[in-house]
Amino acid sequence: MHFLKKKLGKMSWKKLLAGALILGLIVSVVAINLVRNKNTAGIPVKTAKAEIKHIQDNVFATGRVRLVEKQEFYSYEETTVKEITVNPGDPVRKGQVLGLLDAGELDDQFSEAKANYAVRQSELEDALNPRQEEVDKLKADYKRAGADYKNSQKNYERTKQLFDQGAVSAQEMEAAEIDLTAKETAYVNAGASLKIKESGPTGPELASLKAQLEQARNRMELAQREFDRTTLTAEMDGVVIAVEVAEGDHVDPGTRLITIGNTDKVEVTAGVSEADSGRLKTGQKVKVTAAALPDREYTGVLQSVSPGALVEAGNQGSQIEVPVIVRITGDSEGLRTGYTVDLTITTVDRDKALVVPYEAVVEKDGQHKVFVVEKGVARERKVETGLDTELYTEIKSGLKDGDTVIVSPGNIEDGARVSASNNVPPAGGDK
Amino acid sequence: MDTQDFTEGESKEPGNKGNLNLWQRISGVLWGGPVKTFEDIVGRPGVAAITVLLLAVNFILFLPTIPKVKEFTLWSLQNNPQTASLPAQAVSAATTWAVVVVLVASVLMPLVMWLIMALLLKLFNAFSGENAPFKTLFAVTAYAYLPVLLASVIHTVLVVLSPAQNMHRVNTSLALLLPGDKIDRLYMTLAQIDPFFIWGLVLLTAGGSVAMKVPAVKVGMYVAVLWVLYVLGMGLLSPLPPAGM
Repeated sequence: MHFLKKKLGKMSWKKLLAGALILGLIVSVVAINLVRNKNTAGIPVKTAKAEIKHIQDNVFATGRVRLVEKQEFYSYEETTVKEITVNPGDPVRKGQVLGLLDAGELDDQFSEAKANYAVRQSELEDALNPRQEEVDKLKADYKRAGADYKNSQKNYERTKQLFDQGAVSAQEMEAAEIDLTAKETAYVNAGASLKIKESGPTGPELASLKAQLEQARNRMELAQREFDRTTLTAEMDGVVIAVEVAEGDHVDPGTRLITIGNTDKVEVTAGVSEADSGRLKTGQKVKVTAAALPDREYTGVLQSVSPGALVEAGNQGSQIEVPVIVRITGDSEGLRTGYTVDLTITTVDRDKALVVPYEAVVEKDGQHKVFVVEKGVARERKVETGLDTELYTEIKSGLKDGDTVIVSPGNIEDGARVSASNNVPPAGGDK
Repeated sequence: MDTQDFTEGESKEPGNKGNLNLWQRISGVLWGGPVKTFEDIVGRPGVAAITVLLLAVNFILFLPTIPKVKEFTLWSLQNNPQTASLPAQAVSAATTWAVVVVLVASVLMPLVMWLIMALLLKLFNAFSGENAPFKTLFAVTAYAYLPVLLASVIHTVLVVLSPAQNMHRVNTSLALLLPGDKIDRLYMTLAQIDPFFIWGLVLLTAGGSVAMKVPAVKVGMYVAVLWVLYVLGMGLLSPLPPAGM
């Protein structure tokens, strides 16, 4: 003790102070650590607050703009473009001629078919409605044949009396009989011809005439259609979208020549991945944006969802997609046909819902449950869930706004000590 | 820190360069009189003995923590939903890997740190003071590490005494004063402010001043600026640990 006093006495106050500080530091650090670690640390967990927020769930897809109403002109045979009267962007009216193709022999074929039809038509007309002159002539023929027949009868009777008296030969008698038969036949034929003319054709003859006329008409219409195709005529009001040929161009069958359409009515066709397709319903709101128009946002509705899925080949292999059509409901100005657009289809939209991250809800014993952190202890709670979005699950009952829940509780048991080391930052709710 | 001469009768006179042995240098740096001790170190900057000693002590301090490191790793894996169902082989590999990481961090990292600090002093020396050999500056940084080694001893003792689950809560920095276990930017910043490390920086300043024959204030400003940048950088820019860990 005396030695220690002597030793300390020799030390300067600065050294003593430094020693005391070092000792104090060590003791403090040890003491605080011991106090802090008195209790076993809880299981580190990620937590989040149950919050009331606007939830929205979206399905994303990329589509292509197309016109709802459009007319495309194609060449139907190998020919030459004679004339083009419009340019892209020109407004057009229904009935307006946009261009002409070389008709070639189609003009002659149409004229010939038309003439043939006229002949057939005339034949049937004549058969059904005979001219009076012809009827009168047949009547006169019939009358004359009747008179000839009567004369022949009188001649026969006179010749027969003379033959019975032996005044004429058998040969003369036979000649009178032949003449009578011939006149009778002519008389009957004349009567029949008159009757046929007056009553018109019947049965197979009439059917044949009508069939010939119908055939002629079909040929004429076909020839007309083929001829008309050489005149490119607008069938709707609209705008010239594309002119793909020039005057003098030689075109093959199937070549697209001109496209016109109504730019006020556009729609978007897209493919939605099969994983997302189950959330789609017609009538859902759609936000449409185009890379070409970064400052514009268009609105639309999901008009149709295909009942079948298609296998689409992409850069990353084939994928299964469900075709959908989105109708643009608002102003579509600037949205050009052929543009690639991004679609945000809103499948869920709820203004106020109590939600937790979907990973906080677990299914145990056929029930939905969450673990609420109360004073550092995990408490299991049964909850009733509602809507599910990509990030959140709506809680209809079992939780209140502000409750702290464990996200991805894993093997946590009811009553376990937990340590919420890092809360999940509150997301915006909307995605 | 105290800068006056040694007066202990049993010690060799520290002002005479190269007269102190390793133990006298250690006690002198920590408590006896750092400036005089550093004068002795600068006069005869033997680095091998102090380097081997410090690395050996670090390794010895690492050994009793191995079971705790394994137990803590296992507990963490079991309580993390992402790793709870790992196969036994993967768990075993992760546990071994954790021990290796701790070994590297506790034994080899100090060596890297001394090299970096010596290089920074050498950089300062390029613009200020008399030319000091790199070996001398390295010796200064190694001896300046002694307070941190003291903190390591305390840390090891506390880890051994604490349950494995609390291993990550053992701390000697100001983060110790924060309530709860929340690891946020404040925690990350305070975790860089360790009194033992600051003590080491003061010693580094004193040793650097002696080695380069530059006023201590000048070296102190340089060291302080670098340290503040380090604290802010680590506190504000380093990634936070994943939630739940």
